[in-house]
Amino acid sequence: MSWLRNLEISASGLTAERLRMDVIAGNIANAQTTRSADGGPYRRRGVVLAEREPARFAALLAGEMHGGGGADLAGLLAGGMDAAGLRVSGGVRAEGIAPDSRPFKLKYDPGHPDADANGYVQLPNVDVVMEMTDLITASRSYEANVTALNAFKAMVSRALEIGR
Amino acid sequence: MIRLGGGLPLLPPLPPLPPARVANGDGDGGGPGAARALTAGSAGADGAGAAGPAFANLLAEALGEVEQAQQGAARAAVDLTTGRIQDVSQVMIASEKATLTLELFLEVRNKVLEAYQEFMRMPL
Repeated sequence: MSWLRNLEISASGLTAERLRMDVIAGNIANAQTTRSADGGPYRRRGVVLAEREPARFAALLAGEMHGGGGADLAGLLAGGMDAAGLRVSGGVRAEGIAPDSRPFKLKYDPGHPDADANGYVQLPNVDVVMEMTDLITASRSYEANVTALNAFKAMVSRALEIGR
Repeated sequence: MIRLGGGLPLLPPLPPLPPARVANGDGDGGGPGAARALTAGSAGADGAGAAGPAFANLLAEALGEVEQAQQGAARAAVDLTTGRIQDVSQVMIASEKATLTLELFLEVRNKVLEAYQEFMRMPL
């Protein structure tokens, strides 16, 4: 249902932001973890987000049905493309979860069970203040996506009232 | 007028009425059946034959979309409880899609019925 394409775009934003929240929560929870699954302290993670391209065939098909035959601009725009090939984004997708390569923090604590020969403990490279900022960004982005979705829903409801 | 046999003037036979297909309980909500009844009713009057099948197809198509959307919403709700979907927003959006397609279908149906009633009101 391409007339509900807007819902798909907002839905992808919501999913991506929720994933970011999960990763941030994991970073905060593991801010003091000295033993991670792969040995060594926990390394901070981040989500890599990429643009999701809409189905090109669907856009062309919608353009064909609308304009019939040639590369009619109105027809292409109906399908979400313009003549230069620039198109409405299909939303966002999470490409992967990447580790942060910055060095670990060192803390002098010879009594710690994970202290090395010199008495230093390697702590995760997680800065809780940065994580809190990212958390605020992620939750506000989530709310913004919900607002966009509600606005679109209101538009559709008003359009349906035309016929009443 | 020449009177033959039983005293009735010769008339061409009327087209047979279709069997009642609306609300026959097989779960399709009478959508395509209602559409076909509309087509048969309006085909009895000349000039509506071409418009009838187009309306019927429109309604049937719209009903198919509604069915798909409703099933998608039900599936998404089940997937959330079984853990296949981990996103509440996906379930909400699936149910919102179902609601919007149903509302669109209702508006289309209202328009079709209005047009049909307007047409049947025409004195012949």
